[in-house]
Amino acid sequence: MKRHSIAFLIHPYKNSLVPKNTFRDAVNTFAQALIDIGASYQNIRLNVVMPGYFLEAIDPMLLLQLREMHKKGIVEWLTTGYTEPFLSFSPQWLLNENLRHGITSFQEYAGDRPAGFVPPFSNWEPSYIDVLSGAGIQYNVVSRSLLASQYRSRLGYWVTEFAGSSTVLFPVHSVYPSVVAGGMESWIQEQFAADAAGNVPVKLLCIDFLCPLLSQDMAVTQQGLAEAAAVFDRLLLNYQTIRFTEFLSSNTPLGLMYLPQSLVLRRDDSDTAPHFLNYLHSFDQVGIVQRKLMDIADNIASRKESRHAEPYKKTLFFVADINRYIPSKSSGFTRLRDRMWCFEKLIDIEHELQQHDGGAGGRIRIADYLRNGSKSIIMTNKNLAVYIDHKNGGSVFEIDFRRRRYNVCAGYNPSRHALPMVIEPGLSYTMFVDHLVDTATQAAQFRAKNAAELGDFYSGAYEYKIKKTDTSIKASLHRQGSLLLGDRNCPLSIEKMLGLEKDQPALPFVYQITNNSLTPYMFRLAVELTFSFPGIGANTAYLLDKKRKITGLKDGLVELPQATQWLIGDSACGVMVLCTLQKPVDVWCFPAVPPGVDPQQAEAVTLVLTAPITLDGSGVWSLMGKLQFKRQALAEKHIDEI
Amino acid sequence: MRSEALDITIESRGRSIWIFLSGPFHAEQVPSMREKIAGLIDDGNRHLVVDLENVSDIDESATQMFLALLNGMRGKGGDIWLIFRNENVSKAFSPFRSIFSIYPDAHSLPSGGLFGTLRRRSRVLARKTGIRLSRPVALTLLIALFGWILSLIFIIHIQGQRIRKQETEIRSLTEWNRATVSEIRELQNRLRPLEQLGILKDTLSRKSP
Repeated sequence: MKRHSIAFLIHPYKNSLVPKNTFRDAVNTFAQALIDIGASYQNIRLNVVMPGYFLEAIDPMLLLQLREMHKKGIVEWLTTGYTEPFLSFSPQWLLNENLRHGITSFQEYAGDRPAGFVPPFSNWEPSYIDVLSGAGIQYNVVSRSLLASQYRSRLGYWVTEFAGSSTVLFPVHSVYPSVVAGGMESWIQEQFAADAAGNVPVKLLCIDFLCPLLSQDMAVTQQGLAEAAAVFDRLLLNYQTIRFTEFLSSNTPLGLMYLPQSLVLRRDDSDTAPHFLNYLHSFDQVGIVQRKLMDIADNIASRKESRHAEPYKKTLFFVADINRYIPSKSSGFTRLRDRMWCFEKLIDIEHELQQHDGGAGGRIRIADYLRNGSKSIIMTNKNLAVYIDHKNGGSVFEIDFRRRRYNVCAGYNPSRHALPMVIEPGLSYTMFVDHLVDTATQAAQFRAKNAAELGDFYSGAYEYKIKKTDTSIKASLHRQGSLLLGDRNCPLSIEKMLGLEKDQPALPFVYQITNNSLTPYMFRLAVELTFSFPGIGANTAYLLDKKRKITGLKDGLVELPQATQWLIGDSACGVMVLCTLQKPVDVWCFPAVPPGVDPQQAEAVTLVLTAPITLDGSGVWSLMGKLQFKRQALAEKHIDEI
Repeated sequence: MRSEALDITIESRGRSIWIFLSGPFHAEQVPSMREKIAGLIDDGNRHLVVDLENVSDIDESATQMFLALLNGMRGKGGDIWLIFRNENVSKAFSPFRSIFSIYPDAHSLPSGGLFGTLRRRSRVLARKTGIRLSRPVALTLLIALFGWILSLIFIIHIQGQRIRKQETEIRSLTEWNRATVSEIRELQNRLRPLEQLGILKDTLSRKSP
């Protein structure tokens, strides 16, 4: 009787950002564990998947031993690419490059090409079959939870097809070391027993053994690996551990299995969320980071002479890493650190590319940056980049202070948008959001979102005009809207102008509100500015009113009556913003969290510039101001993380 | 939305305003584009460079718009230069090639000064010969060539100095030779009567072969 087979796939992974030295130590510990298993259990075969950059971090002496193991046929290499790319969120050329770099790393460090591809988080994209085949990938490994439920227990491999191209798929059981500790032998027997169909001579159980590389989990990982290897060694008479290519060369597939675009949000066998992209598009920042990545990738791809842009590709591979997007306990777009890291890298590349292109006095772009069918206005100079969404209340959804590689508008709103859209007016934490409320509205009322909106300016579309001279760029936004006073809809227009002067790190703004009727109006204008600072939780962020320094911004409401100047800053990111106003207005400051959420979780703070306005018939009210961005000393030394 | 399909980038380079257009340029976009470019002209910009290389499709009304803008601009003493070499745009602008200043790429634009001319010439040569040198390599080669010329001049200078020195030496030796010969002759003339009397023997002429 033929023995059934087990493909043991060892899958080291690192979700969160860690300092490079820590990462190097962890990878080397893992490599040593792998070598120990290879030496102790000579009869078992291992399949090992890792991104190319893991290999680069392994000590050359350990690499030499791994190469020997590969030569003896003990190990088969698989890869996820150079990093762990988010296939659905990356442009195809970037994935192609990522894969090419990954394969080159394997050839250089492991001495051979990887035989298989493991899409991170089983992020399967059928349209990429040709890209994978073109890169010399023989088979792919995905979670069995992508298969239709009636086929999940079948043990073997499948062939998948899309648009005339086909490839081999090995469905795997994802297993954590801690989960199977002690009970692995019986678990294996159960899996073989569960596949009762029995129409294949040799069954193959694929186990994706997930090994977290973080220091606290490393001991569990090592122990789990050793235990699993011991179990396979004990079961050797009944089940042989093999390499994927061995099984592929001597067995036929179970059948054809169509897999749609998919993603397993957790690294285990739980069911997939069918509309995961809609889920991700329902939050502000994940969409903005991804669109910035796409914009830069397009910029690099459009360059005919791209030699100077070549080094930036590697950085893009890391930004396109799926771990920066999928929310988990230690990583994902919901984590401020991950978001800021992505923005930092992207702002850096963008700035370098613009510097290379030359040009002085700023640049203005009108492009479908958010990829939602309407244009965004992007104004940039050497120090600042300002992104305006004129369709959604003429708000500013990103301000990059380039000297610090910092986006001050990166505050994450945990509230899921009503519709899958990147920016939802009134909900997203953007800047220059224009609210018109009743004159009696109090700060607490506004904060709790209990103030009735009288205007249609915070979400309405603004018309825009652009101005460019040798030294400045300006975007003039204009909306002919209305104000609800009692039962009457009263005509009112707001014109706001945002600009950049020369290469200064300052954003001057002008508001002009015009009463287009002969009836006098009374209302309160509240312009919302939300600043994201990493030190809001740790109380390093502060507000400076004249000489009074206010800390603890997450603790509650702060009111600055009749202020003409205030400063907000944070030593954690080394950025401070000075706001100067031509006329005194009230300033309300409160933590940016949705009602009902604990303010201690705030990662951003909202400042509201507010003033009661009385407009006579055909009257005009205006406000001029300027946001100046400055550097301040960083509280901690910047650690290079990977 | 077709009216929003075209991407626009505007920036200053030197005294010109550059406009990069990318995407399909349909009739629906003409009014807003006209408004934007007219706004730039109204802001006092007198030299516009419009890069249409990434325009994937262009409507006839767009070329008409550029004609009208060029007319207005020339009336104000300015100019509009166009950059493209893609097929669709070339076809649309082919009837107006003599009216517009059209360049195949940004490098081909006329730029003033010796360096501009040199740069253009180098590009033409690179295109003809197929040899392209990166800046550091070109700079290294230029420094090597300059060093080689300098050392050659130095060697020639040293050699010239040595030749001049030797010439002076030869001249002085010739002079000395001439003086010595005449002195010998004079001495010989003085000794001749004594030789003729047989008091002295001519040892010099006997030694000579």
